Amino acid sequence: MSIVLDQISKRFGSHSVVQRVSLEIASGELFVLLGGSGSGKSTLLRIIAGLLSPNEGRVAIGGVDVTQLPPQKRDVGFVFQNYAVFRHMSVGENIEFGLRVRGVARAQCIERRDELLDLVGLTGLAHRRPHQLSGGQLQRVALARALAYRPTVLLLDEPFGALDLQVRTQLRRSLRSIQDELGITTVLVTHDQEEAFELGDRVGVLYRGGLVEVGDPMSLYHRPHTDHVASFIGGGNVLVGRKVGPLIQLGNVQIPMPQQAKVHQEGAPVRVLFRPEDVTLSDAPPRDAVQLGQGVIVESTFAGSVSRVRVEVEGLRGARSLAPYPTYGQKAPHVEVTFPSAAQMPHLQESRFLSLNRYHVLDPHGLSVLSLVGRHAEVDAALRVGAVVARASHGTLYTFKEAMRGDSERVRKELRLGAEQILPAAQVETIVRDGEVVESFVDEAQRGLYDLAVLGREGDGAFEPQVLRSLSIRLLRMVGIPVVLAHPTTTKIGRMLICTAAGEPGKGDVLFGARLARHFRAHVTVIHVQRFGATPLDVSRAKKHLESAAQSLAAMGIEHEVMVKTGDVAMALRDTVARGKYDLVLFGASGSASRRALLFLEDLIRGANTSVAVIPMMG
Amino acid sequence: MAKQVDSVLPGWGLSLGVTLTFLSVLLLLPVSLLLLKVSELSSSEIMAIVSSKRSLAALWLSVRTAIQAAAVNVIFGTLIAWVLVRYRFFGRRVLDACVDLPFALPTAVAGITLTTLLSPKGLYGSYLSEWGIDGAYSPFGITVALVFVGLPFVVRSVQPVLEDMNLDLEFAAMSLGASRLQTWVKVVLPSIVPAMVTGFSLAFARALGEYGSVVFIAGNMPLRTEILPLLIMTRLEQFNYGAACVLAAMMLFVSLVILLGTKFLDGGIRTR
Repeated sequence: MSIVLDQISKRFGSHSVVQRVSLEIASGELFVLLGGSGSGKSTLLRIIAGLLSPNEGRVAIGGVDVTQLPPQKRDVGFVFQNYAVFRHMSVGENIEFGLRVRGVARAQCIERRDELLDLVGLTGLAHRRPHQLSGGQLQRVALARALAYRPTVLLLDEPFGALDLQVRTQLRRSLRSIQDELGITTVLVTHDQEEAFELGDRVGVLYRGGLVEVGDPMSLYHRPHTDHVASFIGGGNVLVGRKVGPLIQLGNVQIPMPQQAKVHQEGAPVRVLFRPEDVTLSDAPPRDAVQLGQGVIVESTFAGSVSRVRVEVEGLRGARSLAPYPTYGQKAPHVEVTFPSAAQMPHLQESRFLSLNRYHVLDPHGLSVLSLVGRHAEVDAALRVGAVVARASHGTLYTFKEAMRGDSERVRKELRLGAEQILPAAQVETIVRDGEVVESFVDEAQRGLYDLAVLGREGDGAFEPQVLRSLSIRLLRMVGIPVVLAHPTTTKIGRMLICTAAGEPGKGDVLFGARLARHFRAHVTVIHVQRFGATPLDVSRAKKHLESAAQSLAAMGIEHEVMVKTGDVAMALRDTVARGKYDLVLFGASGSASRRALLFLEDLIRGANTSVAVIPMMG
Repeated sequence: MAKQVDSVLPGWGLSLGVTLTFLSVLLLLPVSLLLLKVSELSSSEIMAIVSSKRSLAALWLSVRTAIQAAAVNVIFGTLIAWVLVRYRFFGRRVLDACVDLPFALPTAVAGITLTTLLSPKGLYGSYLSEWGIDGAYSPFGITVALVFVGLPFVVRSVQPVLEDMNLDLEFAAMSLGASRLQTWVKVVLPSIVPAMVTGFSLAFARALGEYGSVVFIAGNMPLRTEILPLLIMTRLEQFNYGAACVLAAMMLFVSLVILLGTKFLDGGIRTR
């Protein structure tokens, strides 16, 4: 029988566990719900079984709406992680339970019981007591019990979670063959992706209560749409580059944009996934393959059938790595490579050329904005500006706040209410942590899920200026994401100033600014200040840079002007900022994100009602 | 009896020694002295005391009311434990604490309060007399007092078992088609029966020896509302130590038999 879930939501108190999940499972299909702990997968399964009722949405089994039916009337078999075998009954009595409560005659019960014992491979154990059985056997009993009265649907909640590896593999195989034999529609919940791939006809990935992606194991593995699925499933390398013409710029490396990739805007981030087994290491640069350049082996592990090495690739420096998760103090992105153990393993510190046999580009998405919210969410500048940016880019706002243990529910609610005035609810996520706020914020930012961090500008009372300053420096230098210092009066971004004089004129700064401006349809001013006594070479370089900046802005359809001034940099900029009524002033931190640079910046914008964006060095 | 190597307590020998000494000083020695005193009497004397109408009536009354009280407690104590574990409501913690009141309250206070309530002119007693039931000064009153003192034993025995019970067991039964009643009778009840039996034994033992609360409410009429502990007390006041000891030994014997009986029953359930 088919199962249809329509817009299912479930909340426990104010905590949302499942959010608007819709799903169709075909008759006879073995569908796997895959997700980490807290993803809402077990809750969803229990909603199908009727053990929990959803706050919103409908459940249909075999075309019949069963949302209001109690579990007794749904005709589903349910298998629990902890077996839930009745200890006071024998194995046989357990299996017969579903038949007995329905008043099936004794002789028939016994016949069916023996049939099921044969099916699950426990022939002759009907009279054993549960405490005489192993975990694997208990789970077989639970399976037989669930199948006894021929349910229309079989639901399994992490059925192999409590078992050791060998028993698990055995049981998996039994389950697959039993399912094939009976042809019963089956939904299995697991956190183990290997299990999901091995068993599932189709797999649905749940994350934070939402169904992120559904597909057959092959396409989920090789052609996922979201970075969550790309990094959660399998050991994957996910790098964020930028679209430049027909190419993807990953640090200093360029690879072609595949034909089948969804359309990316010029200059927009491009997330590239390649699996460890799709990378080839060689001694000489290979021909006819997409090359990543040379890298140094930094880690090498033997893992049975495959060997796994990590290669630090200097050429990729500047591309952001979502997976493998960057380690502290790492200079350039690491690429994970696996190859059969039989091949010779390269030694540490050896150098190799890397090439890709296959790679995949994930769908483009709106900006993921991480806002650090101060004491009063309702008037918080970072929250509001973050929401404004997220809304304009159709992205997601992640609000971050510290809270005492036990107070987190209230804080979550407060954050939601604060952001939802600007954004639709679906685009707000709340993150609440106890403990040291700066440390945990940096940790969160380091997860690589975010395009932008938003902090309050100095003097908003929530955080000390020096705390914000050192936080900004760590975000720019270590995490490498742009930082916006939000001003409370910023409610839209209509006029934007890009300063290319606060350091070396950076291409990344302009491109990032352009990306923001495009979302807001903002007017962009690019300013460059010539120092007195600049050499002709400097002048011509700056000119060239400004020309190309204007070109890319024009290509993206952004209204813009270019301004060149001569004189003292600080004075010229201060003057421009003060007169221009800009909503956002953008600086590149391509030189160094230092305390001095930030103080210089703060001095520039003092008194101006503008938010500031600082862009780290990018590829 | 195997030696426990990985025990937290220092030394098998030491801990066993302390255990035995403690039990001997507090339990075995007093009981032995009691039996010693009994053995000073001749068997005909003992038989006369035991078989006297008054002793037998007192013994029967004590045992009967204790069993009744324990039975009532098993039913309502289990219900209270269920409510405390399974439902979240305002004042749950207060209610939970109130269950222990019978432990804390001096039994005499309980006895006097209940007597006031149950006496023919009392709050409950006036209604009861309309129905033709004697509240205070009757076996009924004794049972009520014993229910009061025995309640916490059942609640505190059943409560932790219910707390540990996996909800999935009930979910499993429900998904297999069992109605609420079937789930309760076939799945929940069997899991808590051992705890209920333990609670019954404890409540019964407590009720059998209860003196403080009962003396006020019983009326203490020989042959009708005189419980055995009171009879022992009476004999002591008459300096008839021999008779007191015989009665005490008799009581000890009867309660041992009943407690062993329930243990046996409980064991039967567990290994079934």
